[in-house]
Amino acid sequence: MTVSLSSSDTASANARRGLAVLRSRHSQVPRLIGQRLLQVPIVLLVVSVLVFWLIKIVPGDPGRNALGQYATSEQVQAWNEAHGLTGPIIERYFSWLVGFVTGDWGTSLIYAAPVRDLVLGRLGNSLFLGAVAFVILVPVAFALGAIQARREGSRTDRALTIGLMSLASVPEFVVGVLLLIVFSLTLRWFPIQSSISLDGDPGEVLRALVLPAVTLALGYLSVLARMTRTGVLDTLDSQYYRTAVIKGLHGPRLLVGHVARNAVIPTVSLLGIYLGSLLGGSAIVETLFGYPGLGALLVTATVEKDIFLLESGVMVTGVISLLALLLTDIALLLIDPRVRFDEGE
Amino acid sequence: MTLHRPLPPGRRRSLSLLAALGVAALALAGCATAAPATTGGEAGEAIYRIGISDPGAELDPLTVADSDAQLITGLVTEQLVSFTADGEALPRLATEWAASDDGLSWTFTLRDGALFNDGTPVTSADVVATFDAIIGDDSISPAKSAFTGILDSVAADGDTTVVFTLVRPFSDFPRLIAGNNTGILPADYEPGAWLKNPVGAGQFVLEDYTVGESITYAKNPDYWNADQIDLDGVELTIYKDPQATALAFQAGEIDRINVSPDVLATVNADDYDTLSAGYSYFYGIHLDVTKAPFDDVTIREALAWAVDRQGIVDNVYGGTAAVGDDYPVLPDYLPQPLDVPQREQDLDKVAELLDGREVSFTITTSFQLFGEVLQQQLNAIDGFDVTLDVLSDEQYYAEGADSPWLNAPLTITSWGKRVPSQYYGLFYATGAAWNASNFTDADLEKKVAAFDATTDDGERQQLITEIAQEQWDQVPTIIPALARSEVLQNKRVTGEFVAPLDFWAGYNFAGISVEGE
Repeated sequence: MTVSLSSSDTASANARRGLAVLRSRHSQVPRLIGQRLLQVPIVLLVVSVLVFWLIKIVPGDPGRNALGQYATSEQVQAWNEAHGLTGPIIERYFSWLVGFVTGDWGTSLIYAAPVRDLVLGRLGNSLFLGAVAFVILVPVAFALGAIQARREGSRTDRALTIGLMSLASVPEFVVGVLLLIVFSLTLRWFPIQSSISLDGDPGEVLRALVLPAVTLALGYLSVLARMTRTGVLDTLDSQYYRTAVIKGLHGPRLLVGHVARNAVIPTVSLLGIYLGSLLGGSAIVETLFGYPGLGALLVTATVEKDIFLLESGVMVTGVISLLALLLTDIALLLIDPRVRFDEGE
Repeated sequence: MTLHRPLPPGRRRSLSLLAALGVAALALAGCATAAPATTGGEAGEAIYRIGISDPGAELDPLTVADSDAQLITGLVTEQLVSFTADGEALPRLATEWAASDDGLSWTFTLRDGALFNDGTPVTSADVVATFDAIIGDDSISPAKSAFTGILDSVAADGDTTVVFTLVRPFSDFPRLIAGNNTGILPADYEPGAWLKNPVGAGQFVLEDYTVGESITYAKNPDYWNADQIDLDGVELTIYKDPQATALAFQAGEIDRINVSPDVLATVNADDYDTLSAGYSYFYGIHLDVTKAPFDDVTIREALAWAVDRQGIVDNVYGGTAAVGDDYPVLPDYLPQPLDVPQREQDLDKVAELLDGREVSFTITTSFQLFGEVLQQQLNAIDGFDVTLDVLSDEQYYAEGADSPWLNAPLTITSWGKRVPSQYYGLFYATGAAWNASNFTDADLEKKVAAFDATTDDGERQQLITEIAQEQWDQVPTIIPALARSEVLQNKRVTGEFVAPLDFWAGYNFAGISVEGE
């Protein structure tokens, strides 16, 4: 009796635990967002303090950069004073922070233009480039990974592995220069300088975007294709795939419902990280192609010690990267087959 | 390990679909049709295109310091005087000028009919206001140092005459007037506001500036010499990578590129015109005469005879330099010192001067290649034990009293184009702000002052020879080479520049034309 009661208690406890687990999974998304809402500002605050402090201690002087070799120390000092670069560093930091939070991001020291316009304008360009690169990258990587998995061990698989590994071992800069030499210098299909104006002629915008976007995409292609290949192979090895086949499933239902969804899970976290880097702007690619993105802007800001531009730019890229990570986590929760199964039940 | 191969037909189809999607994306990326490289301006317009770097600071003609920023503002503004590559003065906004008998004042007559690009005439009040802004107490213009101790005040004498009153006679005064930051601006110009209203009385008007990308100019129809300007405009494109600049030049996107070893390695120079842009800079090896081992003049001399100057011309400047002789007079400046013996590497003299002594010191510089070449040359010679300390520009030129470039015993520092007496004032004179050698010589200073004071050609010739000889004897600075800038230019450009594109030349485009696209 005791035993049976105990056993029925255990059964209902298990049932409750099962429901609790389900509920806890349901509540994970808002909780995750809540956690990140607390964490992100703290991370950004720490980063902003570090950037402010590092740019202060590294050698170099914005006033000297601006006025050059023949200006006197007094003139350099006066220039720095006029641009709000003198006084206690803590005071200057808080003054910047208050301005940043209230929407006054200051004026760029080198471009003499409002930092907010510069950063957000360039962010738009970087997002556009990143999105184009992403659109090129994901289907190609999935397709290559799938082809390799389908022909595992074949000559095609081996050739693609060697090709992709070779590609992964060549730095973006080299790939970019080679593409420029072939497609811009020799074939004259695309411009060397990828200046764009988003409201300009769409054909010209596309021409300017192709080489930087392809270079960016190629940089991530190898790892993503490799992970897709592994994911597909693992899925094909699994019990549930075998069961599905034995049950007589075939065609798109088998592939989409059982292979693709499961195979893609390992790559999603990777995609999130890539998305963050792609959207935050790739300094190397933007610099090489002269693409007016945030990455290239931040390189200039760092070299010239343009502190206001650098701080705001870093904050914006920080937000983008952290958001991309959040999206990844949410995506992982949502495509987790166990959660779906529970929901279905 | 895989269970199912070959795959069921359905799966094969779906994978093919995925692959096709990928290929389609690539095809979309590459679908742009073949087209010629972009060119500036409307079809048929004659646009001269130059690749530049990002300007290092906000654009204000009074304060711009780097060459790219100077070009951006200099295409719009104009000075009173400019110079040809041969050192000949060219009237610009001033038509004539003359010094008073005592050399203490210079009177400039302004050109009739010269207009700013807002349509207002250029008057003496504008010239006075511009120079007051440069030399004023609160001026942050880098040009101020060029006039300190030379220019006392500027005054208008009627609408078309300006009188510059000097602190001391200065025969090269027109060259200072043609210098950096001296483009004439309207009297009501508000410093720092130039980009909002890019005003000037020069050859072009600024049409569009896209930060970090490009700047376009159109010919200024109201320019006093508009008849001689054949171009419809100029386009500056900002490149952030030297490799991309070289490729853009090869692809015909820009019309000129500065010659450098990297450029010569990638570009076939025979396909282009090579223009010499005149002597424009040098690196001086400054020896601190108050610190061992350089407090001994025989050590300084030994060092000067040990340097292989032609080796430095070849290996540091890639051949685009003339051998120097330790005095800072650029080869295209007149008058040139005469009969100063040319130093060449002479190891017997070095051994004789060292007299068995072993000399150890460190080369401190931010120019790694120069430092390495010099170190290798010296360490190959008995008696020298040389180490090298390469710093970043920021470290080397750091602000403050203990800045390496002014305190290390041996430094290698870059100097831009100046007239000789300016160099003396900058780095030899007693108390000079950048006297890294800590060198003082009352006799030399007297001679430099006398050189500045006289306009007599014979006296100037005699004095500059004596000044150079004294520098040669005392060796506070070794100047192994004087460098000239060279550019490669697309052959579609016709006409000859009277001078390189810099502030001395007033960025003069008179007589230059290009085939329109």
